[in-house]
Amino acid sequence: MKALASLTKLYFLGNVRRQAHLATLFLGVILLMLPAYVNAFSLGINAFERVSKDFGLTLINYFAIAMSILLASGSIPRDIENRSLYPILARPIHRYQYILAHFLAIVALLSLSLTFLGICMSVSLAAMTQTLDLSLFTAVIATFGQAAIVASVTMAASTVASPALAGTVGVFVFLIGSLPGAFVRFFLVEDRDSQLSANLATALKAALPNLSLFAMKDAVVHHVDYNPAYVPAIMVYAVVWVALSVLVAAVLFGRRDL
Amino acid sequence: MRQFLLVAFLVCSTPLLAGAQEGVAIKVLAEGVGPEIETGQVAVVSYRLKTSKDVLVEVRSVRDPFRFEVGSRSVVSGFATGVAGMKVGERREVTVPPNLGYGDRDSGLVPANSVLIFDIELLQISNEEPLGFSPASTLGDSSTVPTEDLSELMRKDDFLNARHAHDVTKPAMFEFLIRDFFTKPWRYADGHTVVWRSTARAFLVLSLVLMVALMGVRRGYWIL
Repeated sequence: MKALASLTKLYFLGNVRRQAHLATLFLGVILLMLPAYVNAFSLGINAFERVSKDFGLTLINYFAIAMSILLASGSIPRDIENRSLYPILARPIHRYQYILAHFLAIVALLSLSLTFLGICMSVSLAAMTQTLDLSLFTAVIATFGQAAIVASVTMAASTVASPALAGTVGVFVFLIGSLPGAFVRFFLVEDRDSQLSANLATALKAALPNLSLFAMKDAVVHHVDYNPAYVPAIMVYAVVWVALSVLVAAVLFGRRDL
Repeated sequence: MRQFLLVAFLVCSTPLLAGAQEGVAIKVLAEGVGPEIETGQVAVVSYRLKTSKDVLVEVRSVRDPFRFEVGSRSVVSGFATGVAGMKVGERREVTVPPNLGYGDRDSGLVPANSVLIFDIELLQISNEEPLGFSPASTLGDSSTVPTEDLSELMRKDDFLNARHAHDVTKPAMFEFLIRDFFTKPWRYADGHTVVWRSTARAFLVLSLVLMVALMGVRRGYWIL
């Protein structure tokens, strides 16, 4: 446990040293200014709050996915390329601990970044509307769960593939996983004459994590009521998928002849 | 022995006989979420209809769904019974006997006295009355605007042409996007059950992979 914590801290500081968090600061500044700009361009129409939230949460969502893919696709191959992996594995550290430490470091950086971005957005909206609305953190939490899944799947791919290929896998999982199941049916299944391609499309969608469950943005933006049990449910779903991906990553990495 | 077989036959066939007496046999293929559809509401469904001899008769897809008011007499009674009480996203296989279907008359591809098998999915529950869509303000002539459901209007070339909407080649796509927006699981009180079902499936896969991983470690295929 102590070894895991030390490794996690090491990789977290490594990510910070590579200045991955500077992108967060940049986006934070954009989010701080966003409601004022939207208000200025909305010409007095009193919907700038919704537009700002919608736009801001979309930015945060794509930022989290990009950050998770970039960090997760390169961390393990970089260690192998730099040969910094060998002195670590020479110590009494299990390979799964090494994988887990990488993942936890990414998740820690993601959680800090998303918290910072959420605060930036709440503060800027509060400055414009004079009310502090913390409900947008629901969408931020959902985004975090989604990004954690994408990061874990990308990392699993990076144990056997190059960073570019692992990144492509991450993007693929995000794009297919985010589509609602009915959307896949609408465009892929019912457009095909071949039952085989229809079955392939359905099976592919079923085999990948269903990231459309995490689309809570509309609920926050349009103030639609939802069951409070829904958010814990999607977080448990995220935890199970992360556990599955990290386990697969550990098995794939355990087969490598290093 | 003969008596025993007779009793066993009667016990086994009782549910079948009961089903036949009730008429429509319903098998739930996939659970839905939200409230059950009620009489007077409009059901938006996709379905596949085939006969008991496996002849495909009709398909209404999510691209071109079928709408009807539950409780109205616009559809065969067996179909209406099969849809009653469905939830959004629910899929049912509904077997309709001839007396609740097309009866003893030939109806297109359906021969007389056919048992009908519907595979129905409820896509949306709509309380739609005619939307009262009145674009007179944009057209300037309210007399040319029929009072119909917007989604039906968007399928008509005249309606689209009047609005210079020639590029809207697939209005069904817009209908789909709107339906998707209004049928997300979190909108329903029991929407989290969809997530729990997905989680249970993922957990099952996780358990299997964990077992394989531990077996592989024990046999020396890999190290963890």
